[in-house]
Amino acid sequence: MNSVNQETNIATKSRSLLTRYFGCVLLILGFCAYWSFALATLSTANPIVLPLHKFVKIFDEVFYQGWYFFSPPPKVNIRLYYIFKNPNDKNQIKEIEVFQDLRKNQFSIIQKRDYVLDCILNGAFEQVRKKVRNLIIKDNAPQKKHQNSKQTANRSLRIIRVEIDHSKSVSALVKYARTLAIKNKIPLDSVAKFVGTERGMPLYSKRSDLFLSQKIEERKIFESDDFPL
Amino acid sequence: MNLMTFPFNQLKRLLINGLNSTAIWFLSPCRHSLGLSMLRVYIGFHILYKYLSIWPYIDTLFSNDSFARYAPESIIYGFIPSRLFLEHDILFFWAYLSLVSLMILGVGKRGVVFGVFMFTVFSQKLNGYWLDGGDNLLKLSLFYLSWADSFQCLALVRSKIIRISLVNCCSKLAVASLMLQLALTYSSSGLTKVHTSTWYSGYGLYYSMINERFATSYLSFKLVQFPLVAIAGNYFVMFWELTFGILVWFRRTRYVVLLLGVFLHLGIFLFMGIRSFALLFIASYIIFLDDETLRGMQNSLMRLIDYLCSFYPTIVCNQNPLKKAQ
Repeated sequence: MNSVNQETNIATKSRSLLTRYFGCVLLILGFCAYWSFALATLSTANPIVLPLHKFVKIFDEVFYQGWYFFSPPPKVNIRLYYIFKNPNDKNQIKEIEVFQDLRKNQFSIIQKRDYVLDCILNGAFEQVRKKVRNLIIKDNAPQKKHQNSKQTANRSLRIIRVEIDHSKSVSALVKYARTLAIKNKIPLDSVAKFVGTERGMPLYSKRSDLFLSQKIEERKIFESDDFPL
Repeated sequence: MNLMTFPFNQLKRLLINGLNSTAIWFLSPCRHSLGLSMLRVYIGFHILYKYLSIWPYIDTLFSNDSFARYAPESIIYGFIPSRLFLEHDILFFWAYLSLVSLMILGVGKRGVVFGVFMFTVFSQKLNGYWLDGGDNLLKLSLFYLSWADSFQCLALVRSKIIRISLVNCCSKLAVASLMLQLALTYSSSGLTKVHTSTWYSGYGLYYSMINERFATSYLSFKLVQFPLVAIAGNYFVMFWELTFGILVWFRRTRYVVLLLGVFLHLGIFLFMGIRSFALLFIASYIIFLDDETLRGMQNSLMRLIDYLCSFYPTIVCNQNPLKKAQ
């Protein structure tokens, strides 16, 4: 009787061990598959990755792997100006630059409350900048060059404008004007517009210019139409 | 060679023994349980800090009628409508932070960690304006942690150590993933830097440090005036990122690479203001230290504290008037 029990015990033990071995192999296979996809998402389009493109996109939705850490580093600082005009008095114009105010006394160990607002406005304007840049590149594409008449150029500029004006990021920047007006006690019947500019950073050889802000050139990137608050 | 004399049986036995010992190694207890537990607790506090510091802006970031609404109509392959979370944002975050608290306390095991991972994915999909590279690492680390048994230490309800179990295999693969993730992160960033002309020519660190969005004070502007900081620092960052993925696997070079990484991220913390990012990366290094090393470090620290405390009674005794009277 004892020997029968022993045999049954050994059989059960070896079966459970086999299940664990099988589980172990499955886990290792899953691990290998996951890391293969992770590597595939990091690599540029090549004959090995191209057939997997569909799966890579699905994988990227949750397990996105894109590690750039300031490569390339931005070479411009952006500025965002809101210009408020009183409809009754055309001489009453108020101009507010938002980032300088948000980044005042930036050094603190604890995350500052204004940090979130800075992120939102910076993120929204960066998207507008990216769109402007992409559309300009598209507009200058070689296949379009031969029909580069004044009319076509104007038409494509209009398309750029409509596309950007209807974007989520422009909508966020437009809506922020009201919050800013309330904060600065500007009458809510005013009209506003925002202007985004970029200021190039000085070359390393001219690094002492960093302390002389008036020497740095500013370039307009995007100017919205007037809108009510 | 005569096929009849070929030792098929010995070879077969050797192969079986090899496979058996490999499987047993995978199924035996993980040697990073302390590191896993510490990482779980740190990540919990990290999320609490991150979300409590932006609490006044929760509505701005995550409500349905906010000016900064970011989320598309549905998230995660279009299966989950964003409205579900955006209309009940406060409730969503209370549930999230409660789950995080349970994770810190070590209640609920791996299911809770997976829940925190899912909530993190949702919150990141709902508003991406305020995310940085650290948030991506946070999300991926939570996914790996949800596979590991990180409840053997620093938990109210500790899990038992099982000699042979599939849980151990999961933990080992999760530890390997956490290590691989850091190695891949730095290597990938290093490779991208090599292909970027600004970094390759030595000015990458300069431009990164003078960016108004990240420069925390005039000190960053002052520091880059020295070529040793800007140019040598640039090549140090590139070299360190490129070699991290290789040198971290060897015991002899591991501690040097990790120590340099701590200094680099402390620099980012102080001069570039991406605080949560820097702290999370430093905390993640703990996974490269096994239980034995961590216990050794703990003992050394205790000895140091004991040594420092040994001065205290003598000071007290000297100031004690009763002692003086005697």
